[in-house]
Amino acid sequence: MSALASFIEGAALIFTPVTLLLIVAGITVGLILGATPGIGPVPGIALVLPLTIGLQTWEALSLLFAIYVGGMYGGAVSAILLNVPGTAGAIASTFDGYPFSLRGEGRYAIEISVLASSFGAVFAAVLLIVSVPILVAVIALFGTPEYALVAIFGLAIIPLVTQYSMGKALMMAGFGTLLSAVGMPPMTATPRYTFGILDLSDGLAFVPVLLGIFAIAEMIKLTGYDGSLGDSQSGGADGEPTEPRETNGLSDLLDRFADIFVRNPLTFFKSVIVAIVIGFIPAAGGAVSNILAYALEKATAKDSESFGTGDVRGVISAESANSGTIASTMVPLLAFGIPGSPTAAVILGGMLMHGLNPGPGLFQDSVHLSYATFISIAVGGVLLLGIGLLTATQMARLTNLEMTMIVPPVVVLCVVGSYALSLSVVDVSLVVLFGLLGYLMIKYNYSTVAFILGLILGPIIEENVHRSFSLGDVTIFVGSPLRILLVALIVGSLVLPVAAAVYRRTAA
Amino acid sequence: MHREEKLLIAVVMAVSAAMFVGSFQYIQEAQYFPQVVALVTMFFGATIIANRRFNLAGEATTDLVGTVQDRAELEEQVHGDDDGSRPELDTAEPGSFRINLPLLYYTVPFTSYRVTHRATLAVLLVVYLGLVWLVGVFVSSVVFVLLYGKVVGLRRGVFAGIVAFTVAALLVFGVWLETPLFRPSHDLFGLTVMGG
Repeated sequence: MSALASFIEGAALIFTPVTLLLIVAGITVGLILGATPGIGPVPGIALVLPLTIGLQTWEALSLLFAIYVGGMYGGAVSAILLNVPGTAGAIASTFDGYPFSLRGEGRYAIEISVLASSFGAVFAAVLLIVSVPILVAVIALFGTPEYALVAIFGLAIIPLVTQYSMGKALMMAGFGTLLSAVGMPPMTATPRYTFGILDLSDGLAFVPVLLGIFAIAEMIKLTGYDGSLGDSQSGGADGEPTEPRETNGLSDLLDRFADIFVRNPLTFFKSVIVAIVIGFIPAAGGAVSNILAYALEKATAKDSESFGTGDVRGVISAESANSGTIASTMVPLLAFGIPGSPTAAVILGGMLMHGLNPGPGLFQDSVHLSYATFISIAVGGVLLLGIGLLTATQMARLTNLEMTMIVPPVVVLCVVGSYALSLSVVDVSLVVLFGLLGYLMIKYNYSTVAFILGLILGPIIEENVHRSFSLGDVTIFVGSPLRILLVALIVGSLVLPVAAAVYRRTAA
Repeated sequence: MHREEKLLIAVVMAVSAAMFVGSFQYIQEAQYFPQVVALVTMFFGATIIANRRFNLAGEATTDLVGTVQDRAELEEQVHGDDDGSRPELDTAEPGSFRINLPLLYYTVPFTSYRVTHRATLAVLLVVYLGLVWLVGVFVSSVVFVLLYGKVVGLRRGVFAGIVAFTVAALLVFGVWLETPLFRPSHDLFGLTVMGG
């Protein structure tokens, strides 16, 4: 099938009235969840997952992609108005966004943020749509041993792309991988570690674990606080933010557009390219891309001293980068089943729930599904522009929600949602158990993302290592230049943080 | 090391050790993977413990995100004042945010014992799980919300809103997704299915 035919087939999945309506709903829900303290796109999508049981596959996935797009921008609202990033992808948005709020120009920064997020998501998705034939050719180079090595690399790189200490991140990755051994192994029909519980024969149910680790754990953390996010005296800048001014209509919006695409086009395009590259790296996502794009912009700017004082380039780079990552995080997910961000990990849960099993087979044999993914994200980006601009002021009000109010609805949705999936109290137990464990992980800085990635990648590693050994001995893993490169990347990812620590210690 | 962190590491190490030992009951091909992964997990767990005890390598991290969040200072505060006697700051996490609001406490009825709301929510979750097993998701969810409202002391209007939301959400699951809302997960009274 030609690329054009696949593209049209993919587009046909998205351009249906129901799917488009669901994208609108998803953007709105994503905006609300992203701007609501403590939720954000990761727990937000996990919460919505069980509700998608009644939808067709692409209706459900388009809804999840739209929540991702909306949620990524939604995190910027509290970042700009309160200096409190609603998501890790909005951290760099505080640097120059909050100073705008301090001088009464919060609305301007939010509008710039909407435009940069929207066009960032669309531009990256369009670039990837054009690149699909190249990606398919590259993925064809990956056989069973390469697939196993890519999955191991996905775990090895976690300490490099997250802020966690190496020991903690790898211990949690190992723990997640180990728990993935529960259930049916690839080489025998005898289940492992199920203790006779039938509900465990397919392994630990992924969605309940996600709900526990990402949503319940966040709620336990959130429930202790007295007041709303708006009451929080966040650190970083002196002074108090003033009320955002209203805009003067279309002429102001055109001026914002010119700020990005006429006065600072390089800032935008550089940041989106950074975002696309970062999205290919497992587990990195918007949390890394927004900071790297901001740092790159600041490092290459002639007048970098204005950064941190309310420079529009700071907001453009951070926001276009975090939304630009959305489409590219789907590439490792679709190609290898390896999520490029924590949010992509939750979306993987949705794909599995709806019978899609991402991996090289799916990517090569069902190219139209890749097109459908990128088209859905691009449509979401376009719709974000309108919905984001229309609701900017209302979103700011969400920061006044009291923390204690958010907890019970989320907990109930998690418990009932997990029960609804398989009508099993075992799944509810998983939600509670992993919620409590997840809270301890969050509190003591043990990577929840590493744990989830381990759970996802464990079966991929076991199956492909097992198959590789049926093709040859251990030297099969260095049997081609690509495999040697992958082994070098794994070793480098593990050695680099240790070498850096030893160097710092020696230097000190 | 804080006792909760010790508990987390103990759980990870104990599960790893148990799965390592338990793996020997399966056929040889199915043993390798859990054995190797359990050993790797226990190795990193031991590394963390050794590092804390002997300060071998400090907190080895490239800290891409942490560099902008002043983690060290925040961590010291959250780990340093866990005696539960005064407000504390929480750490900023990926996908999370920095908050420095005071923490809430709950005084256990008929005693003067104060626990954080986090601890009470943890207990409520376990109670909620037990109730789901005993009486199904509908009754358990309503009871959970009532207990939560009582413990946290939600304002009447807010509380009513949350109860309404909960019931509406349950009806969505029950009517649209056909989730049996009143079905317990036991057969204690010979009433496995009590309705849909």
